[in-house]
Amino acid sequence: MNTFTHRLVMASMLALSAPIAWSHGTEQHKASMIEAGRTTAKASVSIPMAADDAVAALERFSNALAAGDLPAASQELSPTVLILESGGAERSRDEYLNGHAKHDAEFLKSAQITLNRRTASVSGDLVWVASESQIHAMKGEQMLMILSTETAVLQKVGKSWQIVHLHWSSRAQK
Amino acid sequence: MSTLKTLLVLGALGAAGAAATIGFGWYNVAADDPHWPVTYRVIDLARARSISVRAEDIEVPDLRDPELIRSGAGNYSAMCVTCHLSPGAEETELSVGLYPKPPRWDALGQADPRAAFWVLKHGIKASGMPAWGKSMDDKYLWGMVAFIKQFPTMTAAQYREQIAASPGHDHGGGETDVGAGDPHAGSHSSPSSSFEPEADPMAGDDPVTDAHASSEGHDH
Repeated sequence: MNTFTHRLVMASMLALSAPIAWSHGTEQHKASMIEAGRTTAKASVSIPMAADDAVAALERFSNALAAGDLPAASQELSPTVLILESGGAERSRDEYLNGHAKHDAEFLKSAQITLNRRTASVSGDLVWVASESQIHAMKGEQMLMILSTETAVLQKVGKSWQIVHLHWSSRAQK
Repeated sequence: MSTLKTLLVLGALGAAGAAATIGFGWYNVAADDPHWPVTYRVIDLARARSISVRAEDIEVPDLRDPELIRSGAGNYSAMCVTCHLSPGAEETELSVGLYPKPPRWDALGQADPRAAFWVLKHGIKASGMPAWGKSMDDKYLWGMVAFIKQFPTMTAAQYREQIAASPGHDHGGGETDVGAGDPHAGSHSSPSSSFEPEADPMAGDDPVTDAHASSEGHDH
């Protein structure tokens, strides 16, 4: 076998085996593999104690949204909350609740959400919280594997914390 | 007898001419080559009469119902505004390119509600107007009729307020992105959930694509 033929055979074998080697495997694309719910236990977190109450308010919001409990989720939002996502904006709590909120709840209720990383910082009456999550969900017959990032800003109002800004961004997990 | 022969010959010539026109591709179907004015008038008359006859017995609900109007606002913004535009809006690429040209929002506001409902439900052949009745129940179609009836007195600011206060693209299921996207995302097309990445229309069937690829997909 000359050098050219040898290279041709090797290239063909690599080309044939690549799809198998690079595929995720069918086990990752079954709806039954998704366990709906939200997990934060394994997240890498860096949260100062002073931000604990604000992060707890954000957690209540996230859990309520994922559970489809919009009244509970709305209690954590400032009436003038600004929510940015995918180039769009919702400029008040009512606008969000009458707009994307029900679609978000509908999407998240059957999704498996895993919080991977969270950082928070305090500055006076403001706390910002940056979170990175992985979302697995079914859309029709297709499984979506999403890396989702969230920036939340909370403001202290009296003794409680309210979410005054949220920015969500998502991309497909490669 | 000679008259009959003449008619037969003329009929045969006419049929041969029509066959040649079709067979040789002489008729130009391009949307940027308008009909002759007389052809347009005949088709327009046929359209108007067809709708009028079929819509005359439709019963109109109370179009002043605020919930009906609210429902129609979001669906209009998601499903109609790209072609029919809205108060204060500029022409879109789609509205400029369509032929026959879709009626603007201000003309819709003057339409007979029964005719508007019939057209929304059944669409119009070869005009680009879809039959929304295939995916929407009557009550949502009436919502859009109720909303467009508000147009004669509506300002651009009022339009935006009504869209913002609406439930968005929502007609009881089966909603898909029909070009205008979700009104709550402004002019930007996005999935209905805040957590789904946007699909790149150039990327085939896979709905999960890189968001950056999507933002760069519409580029000319």
